Amino acid sequence: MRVLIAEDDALLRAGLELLLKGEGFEVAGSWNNADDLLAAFEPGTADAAVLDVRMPPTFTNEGLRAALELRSRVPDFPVLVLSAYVEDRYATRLLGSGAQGVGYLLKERVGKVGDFVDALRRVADGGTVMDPEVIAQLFSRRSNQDPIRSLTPREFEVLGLVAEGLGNTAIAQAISVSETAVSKHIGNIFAKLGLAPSDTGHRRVLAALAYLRS
Amino acid sequence: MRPSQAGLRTRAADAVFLLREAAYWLASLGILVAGIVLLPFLSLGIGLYALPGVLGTLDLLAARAQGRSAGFAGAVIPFDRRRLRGRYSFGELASLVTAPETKRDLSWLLFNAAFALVAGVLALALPLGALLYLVVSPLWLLFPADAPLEMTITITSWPAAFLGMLLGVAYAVLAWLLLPWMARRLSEGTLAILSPRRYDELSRRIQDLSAARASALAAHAAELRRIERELHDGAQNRLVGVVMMLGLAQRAAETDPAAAVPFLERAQDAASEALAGLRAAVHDIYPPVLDELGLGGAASALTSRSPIPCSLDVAGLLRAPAAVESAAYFVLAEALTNAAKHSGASRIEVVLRTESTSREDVLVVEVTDDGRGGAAVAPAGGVGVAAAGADTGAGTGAGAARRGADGTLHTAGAGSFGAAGGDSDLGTGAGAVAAAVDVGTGDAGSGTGLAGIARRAAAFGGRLVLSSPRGGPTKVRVELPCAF
Repeated sequence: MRVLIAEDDALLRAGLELLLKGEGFEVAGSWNNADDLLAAFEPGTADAAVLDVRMPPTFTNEGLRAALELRSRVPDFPVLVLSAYVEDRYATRLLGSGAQGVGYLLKERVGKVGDFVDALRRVADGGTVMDPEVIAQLFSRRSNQDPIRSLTPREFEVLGLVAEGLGNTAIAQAISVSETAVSKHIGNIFAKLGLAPSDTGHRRVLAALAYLRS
Repeated sequence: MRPSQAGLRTRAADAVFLLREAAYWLASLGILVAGIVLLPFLSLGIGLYALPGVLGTLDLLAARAQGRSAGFAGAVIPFDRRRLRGRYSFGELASLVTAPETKRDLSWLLFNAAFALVAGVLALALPLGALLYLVVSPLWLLFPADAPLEMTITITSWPAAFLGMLLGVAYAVLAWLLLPWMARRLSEGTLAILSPRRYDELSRRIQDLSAARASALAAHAAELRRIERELHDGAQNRLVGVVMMLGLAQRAAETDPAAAVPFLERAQDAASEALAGLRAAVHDIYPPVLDELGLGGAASALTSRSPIPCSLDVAGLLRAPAAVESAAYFVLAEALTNAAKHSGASRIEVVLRTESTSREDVLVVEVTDDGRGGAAVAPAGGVGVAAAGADTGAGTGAGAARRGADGTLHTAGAGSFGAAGGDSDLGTGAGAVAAAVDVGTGDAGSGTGLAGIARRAAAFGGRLVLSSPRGGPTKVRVELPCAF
């Protein structure tokens, strides 16, 4: 899989390249700012992009804007946006560009190399990956009357994992319960949130996030 | 009442003042006549072209008169008066005409035109008359009988001469009493008419304070942004690097434990860098030495560490707010490092002092070296936050500072006080104004050197004045207002 990288910190850029190459990815190009990446981008020459949010020249949200730009040129082009802190509005903007093939993670998630690589693969396959922190932020904004509040802690946890794009099997492994129990939890969640149950991975995330950001 | 020598001296000064005012009265009369002649033309519109000239001359005359009166009365002019120069648009002219300053100038003009000449004539005539009667009356015998000495009275006898001398005494007494009174009334009247009323004074004071407060808030915000940047680019990114390298090491160890070692080493390096970054950031927020020793002591610690022999003068230094002292400390540290690195100097002189103006105290840091000179402020990288307003272009910090022909460079602060900036030499010389001073968003590396100094000064509403002709000496002067 061919991956583009934009990250202004030299050490992190080199680390990302090393990591991705070590995991069998091909690094199709890496830049220290978003503009150069956009200038060099040609549709069909890459399968996904990993972007730092904060880069020169203004050090605000260049990476996010570049992600949106890439996706306006190639609809649903997979982008994984990394950031030192998460901001749920950024997540909302990313999802606003179509929820297929977007990821938004805290930078330090790269430390869990396996999980990070899995997340990148899911994004490249058209999945959606949101950092648990984003989900937590969105939750904390909900009011008390919100049906989200009626979820049990376990259901909450499961919804978080759903939002990260995990399938039932992976969720069952993650929280050490049976798959049947997971489907039951998910059924309950969707019932409480008034959503029709569905089985495919990213559609569930969409449903949850679409509901959360409404 | 006995004429003492001191009394004579003050009366001589009174007379000189009054005579000078009378001499300038001619100019007042001229401008008054010009103004009255201009009035009908004003309604026709043609007069508008002459208006700036008339107002400018009036402004000049009033300013001079105010200066003379203040000098005579030993008074302090509470605020710098408005000075007119340059060209004005129609709208500016309109507001100029209705400005309280113009009204005051006009009142003064009428006052001056009415009284200055009379006072001047009296100041000349009374002493001269006294002198004439006292000296000439006794000489009546020298005049022939068919052409006797005729003054106010015809003097043909000693009693008449005595009367003449009495008249002289009367003139002298009158002069003695009137001269100080007239001089006082004229100077005090001039000052009272031309000085802003209490209300204006207070409203201007409030404006100054508001500006100072706004710039304090701006400086605070800039400082917070700087710290956030420093932590984000430094420690935070390095720690992500640590986590990343550890992840890679873990991954490598799964297949070959030996392959993990290079990653572990890089993780360690990154962790050390993160620590160094944190240490610098913490130190930058408030150097502990400042707390212990005060700015004077901290400065002497800095100068004694300088590789180039360094003298320090802190005699005129007063305490300043912690943030300002901290800024001064870094400015000094950076200036010394800069001099040690680039100047090739054999001596450095450091002066720290507090300069008080009527508006505020300014903490001044002056670092002078006898090195090779030719220093310039590097253009700021990244996005410059414009100071003087001109070069705000996003992403173009280039050409941030222009050098004047004399090798003097000024950078004005983003939050510099309007009034303080306006009456300084900023904005006068063609090439002497600098514009963009990068506030906290430039390259990571530009935090050092003169650009860093300029940035730090700007954050506090202060400025850097650099004089560094080729061949030296180099003088770095940083002014930090203590208004907050």
